[in-house]
Amino acid sequence: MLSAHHLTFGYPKQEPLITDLSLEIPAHKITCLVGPNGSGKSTLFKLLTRQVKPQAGTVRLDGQGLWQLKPTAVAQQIALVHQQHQLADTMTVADLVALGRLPYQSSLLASPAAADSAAVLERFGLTALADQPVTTLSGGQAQRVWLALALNQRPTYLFLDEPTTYLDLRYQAELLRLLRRLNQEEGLTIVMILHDLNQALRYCNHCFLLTGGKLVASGAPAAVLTPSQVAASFRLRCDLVETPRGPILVTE
Amino acid sequence: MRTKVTTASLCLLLLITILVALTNGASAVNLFHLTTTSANTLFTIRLPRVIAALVAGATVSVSGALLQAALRNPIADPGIMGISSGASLFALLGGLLVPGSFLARVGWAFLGGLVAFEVLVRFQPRLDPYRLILVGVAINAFFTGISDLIPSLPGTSTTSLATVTWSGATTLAILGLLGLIGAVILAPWGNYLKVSDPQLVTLGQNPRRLRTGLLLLAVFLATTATATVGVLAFIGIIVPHAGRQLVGHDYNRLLPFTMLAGSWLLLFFDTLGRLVIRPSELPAAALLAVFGGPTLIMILKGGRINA
Repeated sequence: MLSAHHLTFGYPKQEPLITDLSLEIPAHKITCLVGPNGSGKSTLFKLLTRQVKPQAGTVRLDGQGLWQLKPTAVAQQIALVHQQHQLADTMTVADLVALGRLPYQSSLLASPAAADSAAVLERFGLTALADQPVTTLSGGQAQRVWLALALNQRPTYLFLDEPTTYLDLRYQAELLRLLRRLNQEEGLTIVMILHDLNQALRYCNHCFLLTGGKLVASGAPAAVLTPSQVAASFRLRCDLVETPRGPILVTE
Repeated sequence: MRTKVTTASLCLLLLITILVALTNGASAVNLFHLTTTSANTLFTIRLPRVIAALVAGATVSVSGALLQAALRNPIADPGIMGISSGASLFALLGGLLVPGSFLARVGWAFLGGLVAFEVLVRFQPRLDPYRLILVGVAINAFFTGISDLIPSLPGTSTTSLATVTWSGATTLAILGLLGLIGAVILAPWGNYLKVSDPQLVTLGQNPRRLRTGLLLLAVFLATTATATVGVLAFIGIIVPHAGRQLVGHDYNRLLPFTMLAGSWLLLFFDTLGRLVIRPSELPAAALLAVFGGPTLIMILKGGRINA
């Protein structure tokens, strides 16, 4: 269980980015963090994944403080797909995905064994691409590689930072369907930052809406992302329109 | 397969060059008919020089590869970035202030390399690839300038492969080999550092620790060589770059190749320098710069900086 208790975070001499925020990540669900720019969702994301340390409050993973645990112990449970992916040097798909085993290695002096990653490569349809440099792949394929790296950590929680940002419509849908399958078939708990509220409505089971560093609503996406709530948070009027595949938000 | 063929050819080339280096020079030495004079030439002059060239070529090349991995910068080089000239200056000053053993000289050189590196990162905390090189060039010019200002006194003669003695060669061989073993052991870290710091943190690792480990080793390797044979520029870029083309980007394979190729390249230039205008000679460091400058320009022109 992953939960935040009275988190506060900010930089010196600035308005705090997060103030007294508490929440619990629902297990085995797809959860999204939404909110306008500067609402604190990125900061909350970093706090939940042990990238920054809260000034006050704690994040607990199965009852233990995230900062009391060893970094590798956290990495065995929480995996993260960053928004931007950088490689300083050429690396093959297999070598990159193999890094997902690092949290389990007792010594950093041995390179992770390729055999440990074979199953993940297979699952993501990357076996044929294993020896190709990651830089030669298309955007959609590359996103699958970074996702495979994260899942090679065999995490309980998968965090994604705006995973659809650099993808075209087809790869966006492909990725979100893949995430839904991982959630349904393996019970993976998924938490992602989303900008597209319609993706939140379509693919998520739970939604946290942040505004001004505070949690203003939480619950099923359709219950949270009401026209009045969206208008209050984003200062934008919109209508909720029913479609055969569920409700969508249409801006004015 | 390709790696094996490359390695085997390189070993053969290395063996031939060693034989040529030992038997040729101002006077020819026949290994099967050693006279007192030729045995003297072989054992007191040529052998330590060949050993020093082999080890220094390997250590400086590997130092370049480790700097490139740690700084995520394919044109990092201990010579260009001022680490070697810092080492050279400190070895010189240390020798003047507190005359001591050769080991003390290596210690001073290491300190000088660390000072140069510390200045470098102090002014470039974000480690931007191009700025780092620019600041490095300035540091290099500064330390070289100070070295040039120190008048020629006894004990301040320039260090080069031509002045290598047995004490220098042995110290370099022992420390250099230890450092090279360390580099092979830490080779996986070079691969880990290809991904960004936030990604490494996500994997439960400490990127700063990985980087510091590789950087300290790189400074140690480069400065130990500098204390014995002087500043060698470019070899730290050229050899790893050629290695990436020939054996790939995996540091587990790249570093062993870099050692062999670096050994060969320096010995080749040193031997060439001794042979072309014998009985006089051309300094290997100068030949290396003449060959290395254009090669670096080609590498930069190829736009492979972020490849």
